[in-house]
Amino acid sequence: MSAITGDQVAVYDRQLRLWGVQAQQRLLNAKVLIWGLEGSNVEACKNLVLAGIALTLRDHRTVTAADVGFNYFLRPEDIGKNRSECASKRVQEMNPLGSVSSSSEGPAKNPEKLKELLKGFDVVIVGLSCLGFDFELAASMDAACRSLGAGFLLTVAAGEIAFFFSDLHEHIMQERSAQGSTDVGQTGQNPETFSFPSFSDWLAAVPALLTGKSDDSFKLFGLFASFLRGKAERAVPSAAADFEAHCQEVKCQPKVDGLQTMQQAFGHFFVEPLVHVASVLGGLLSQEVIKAITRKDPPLVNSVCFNAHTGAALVEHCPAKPAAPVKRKAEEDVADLLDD
Amino acid sequence: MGRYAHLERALGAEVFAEVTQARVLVVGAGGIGCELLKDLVLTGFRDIEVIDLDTIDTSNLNRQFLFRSKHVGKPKSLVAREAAMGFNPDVNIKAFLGNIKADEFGIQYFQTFDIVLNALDNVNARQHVNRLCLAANLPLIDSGTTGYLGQTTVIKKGETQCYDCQPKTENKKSFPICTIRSTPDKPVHCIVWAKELFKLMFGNPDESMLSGSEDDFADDGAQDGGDEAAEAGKGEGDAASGEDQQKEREIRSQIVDAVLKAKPEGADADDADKVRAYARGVFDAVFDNEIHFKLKLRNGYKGAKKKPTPLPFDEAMAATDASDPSSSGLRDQRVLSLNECAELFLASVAKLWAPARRKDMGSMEFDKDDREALDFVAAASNLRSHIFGIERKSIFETKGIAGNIIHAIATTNAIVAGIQIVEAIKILARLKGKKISHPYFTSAPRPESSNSSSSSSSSSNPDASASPTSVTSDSTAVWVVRDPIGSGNLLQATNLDKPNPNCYSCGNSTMTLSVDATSWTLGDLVDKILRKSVGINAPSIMLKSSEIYAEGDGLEEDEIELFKANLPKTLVDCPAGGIKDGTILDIEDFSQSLSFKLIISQKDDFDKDANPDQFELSGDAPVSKAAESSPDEAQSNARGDDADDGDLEVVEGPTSATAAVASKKRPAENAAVPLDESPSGSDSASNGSKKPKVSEDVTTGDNGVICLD
Repeated sequence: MSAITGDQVAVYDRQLRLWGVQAQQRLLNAKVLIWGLEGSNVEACKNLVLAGIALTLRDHRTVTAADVGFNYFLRPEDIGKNRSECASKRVQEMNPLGSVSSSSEGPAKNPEKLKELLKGFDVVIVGLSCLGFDFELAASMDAACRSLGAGFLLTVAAGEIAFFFSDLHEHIMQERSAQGSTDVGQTGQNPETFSFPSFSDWLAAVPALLTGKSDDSFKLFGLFASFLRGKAERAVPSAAADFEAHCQEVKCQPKVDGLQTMQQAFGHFFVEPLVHVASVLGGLLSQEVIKAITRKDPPLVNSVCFNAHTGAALVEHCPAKPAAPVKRKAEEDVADLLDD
Repeated sequence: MGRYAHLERALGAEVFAEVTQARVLVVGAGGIGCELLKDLVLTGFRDIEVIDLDTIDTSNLNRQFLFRSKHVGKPKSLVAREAAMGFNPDVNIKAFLGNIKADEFGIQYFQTFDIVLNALDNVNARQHVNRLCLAANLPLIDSGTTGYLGQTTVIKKGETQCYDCQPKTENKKSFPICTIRSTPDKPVHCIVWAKELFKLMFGNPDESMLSGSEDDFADDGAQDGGDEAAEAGKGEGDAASGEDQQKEREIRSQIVDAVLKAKPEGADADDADKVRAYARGVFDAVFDNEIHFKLKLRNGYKGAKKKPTPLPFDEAMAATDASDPSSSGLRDQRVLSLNECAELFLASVAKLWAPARRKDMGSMEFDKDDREALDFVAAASNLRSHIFGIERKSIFETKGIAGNIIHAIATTNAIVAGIQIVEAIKILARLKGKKISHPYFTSAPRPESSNSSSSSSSSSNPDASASPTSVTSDSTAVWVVRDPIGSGNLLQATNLDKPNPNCYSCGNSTMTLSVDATSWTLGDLVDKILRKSVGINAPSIMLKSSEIYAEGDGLEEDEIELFKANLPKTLVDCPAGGIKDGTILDIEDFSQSLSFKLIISQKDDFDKDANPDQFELSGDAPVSKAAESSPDEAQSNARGDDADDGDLEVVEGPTSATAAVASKKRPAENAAVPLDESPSGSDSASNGSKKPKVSEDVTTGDNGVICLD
């Protein structure tokens, strides 16, 4: 591990004070793959390159006018060129101390090839639309990441509603941030382990999710998965009526603020996400990546949904198995506060 | 698909049209401001103005992503404008390098906008924008972040609480003076002390508490404040006799002598040996002799948390403690060894006495970005920490504590700004009063609070019975937390509170006085307007937080004279910058428990026949609030949200100062959030430049209250 430099301290000053030198060193030594420059992933590019993490951006698609409308790393002159190549230059400019590379490889179904493409990264963030809305492929990627020891995050957005799934396997949290502002951390804490379900587990739990007590915004993404499972070719706006029929069939009609019909909701999966919605979910997503790398603070297990319409963001454990991490006693929290 | 297809589809064509036509003011182009500008230009907003007084610093670059290292030193607002316009060529952004409190950004300027978004880092500016938005009747979306925590809220006159509805704490950290001077037990106490020593040696010595004549144990019996204060008080118990106080004063005067009388003058100042000898003399006085004295005086510090051990210079230099090997090799990152501290103490004094800096001798102010000043404070505070057996801190950490540096990261700012845009769109959809058939108007109210397990719309909420014309009926306040609350809330949306009828900013009607400010005198204002037109008994007039006129009981003779002297002055020539077009005066009458705002509008073309008095007064007459005041509300939760950063405040004993300023009440459901109204965004604006000052907030005569920036 190379020591942090004076230049780095000068730029990262305000975050060093928040998470400490050791956490920053871990970030500087980490490699993150952002696969699919869409929605919250664009925000992750910004947040993570600013944090000092080395990024690889991967997208096989070319830049469209719609991309330029929300992806601020692209310009009109990029239209028709490869997305990740165009974006990576400007992501790099955002932090010259960081390292940004790009790749235009498309997703592979062959497990060996897939593993090859995911090798060497600490965390992989994947956008579902880049995978052609193929939930099985996402599950294969997660499995490959598990075998490689990399964290896996999957993002999906539908208009004003956005979602991510996180799989950090058996994550060991080594310390918690202090509550106050003058201490960067506390030493001598016992590590805690967080067990994450795999994405296959998530998919398998979708039927239970649809009939269970989850918030309706999660059910929307569950319905999308159950509709497309094994039938990724149905991921086209014209299948909206079929989607509505599917919702009736599985007896799940979530009432999501901001959406009037399931047909309308379905259409939102295929339009570019709203930048301010991506800004919120991308912020939460990036914090999970930072937690995964720094091993600091409890990660969110394992599904997060933000609905701009209510202004609420929720975390749920799916499959519903509240394997709640050991909760600290209130006295300890109070003691921490008094220590400040 | 084009640039806006997704927006039209997700927001609906009519709401999107409102967005494209809205005129938006962004106040602040720092951490939150950069995020806001990015979101605005990519969400279809086209008519944007941004104001910031600050220039770009290297430490901004980790989150203020519109800036590059080549922009360091340039104005934030202008650089942000260029960068954000690059994201969308259809957008027009006007940028101003200036202070939002400047005259040019008055009510009339505000009235040209549809909505205002705050991206500020300090209470004072946020209050100012709040008041202008109230006066201009504009919706304001306020925000703040500290580290991982953040919040947003929506303010609209008559519909919601305003920024002033709940008194602010100003995020001050308080320390009893005796803790700083005699019984430190934490690094911050030693750092505050070192800044006072800096002030004594290089700044205005009269402002340093180390030269002060107040006593440490002023009111032991009346302590009712923080634990720290109470414990420190107990520790001193027996020592607090008048005789001992006298002795403490003697010790202090010896220190002052060592510092002030021994200063190298004339040619001596150029003599490196003489300067070093002077620094050495100060070292001996504060780290060795004073501690000896105090040990004797305080009976060996019996019962105190930390007992000091005097540190002779030679012992410090001979110390063989290794500097902290665990941290990285950078000097600022590691804890210096004792001899490094001693050497740094002498070296930094010498550098501060260098010819280039000597001209500021006696008027220097501590600035965390002043290398020599920081070195001095780090060296002095660590030496003192060693003496008291307190953990030592690296220069980097010392800088953070001494400069009250607010933690700031990109993610929290991104989240908070995104929510502000969400709220802005809701408001705009409502603003024109159109019944647009869009989900924005069909959604049910927010779930009430912390146990909102569901964001879905089945619940009904009687509290959200805002009138159909209310533009905030869909709005929420959102809290960004680190650990999920309740059943998994990461962002907690809560309903907006109703205005506080007793709020001094929004609780009363605002009146506007049109008058020729160049010919009217303050006496005319008091007589013709306040007495005759409004019917006030004993008016007091505040202009930009300065009292320019007052009468009634409790005033000193000299104050009465001073105020009377203002009466013949024309309005524009009044103190505190004068009263002119756009000035907002705070008028109070304690005898009637009444207060209101008076906005001045310049007008000199009155028809003398129709209007012989040559003024126009509009607005409702204010109503006495005596009947509705609820004192306990203001007193509750006084310690509830000492948000972490902000000013360090030293108070003598536990004090009524806290009661006076720290009484922010927050809805109970937010109790889990250890932050409120915390600074953020462009943090440099509030950190470096404020002058340390004796607080004027305290009205009870506590002579020992010192606020350190």
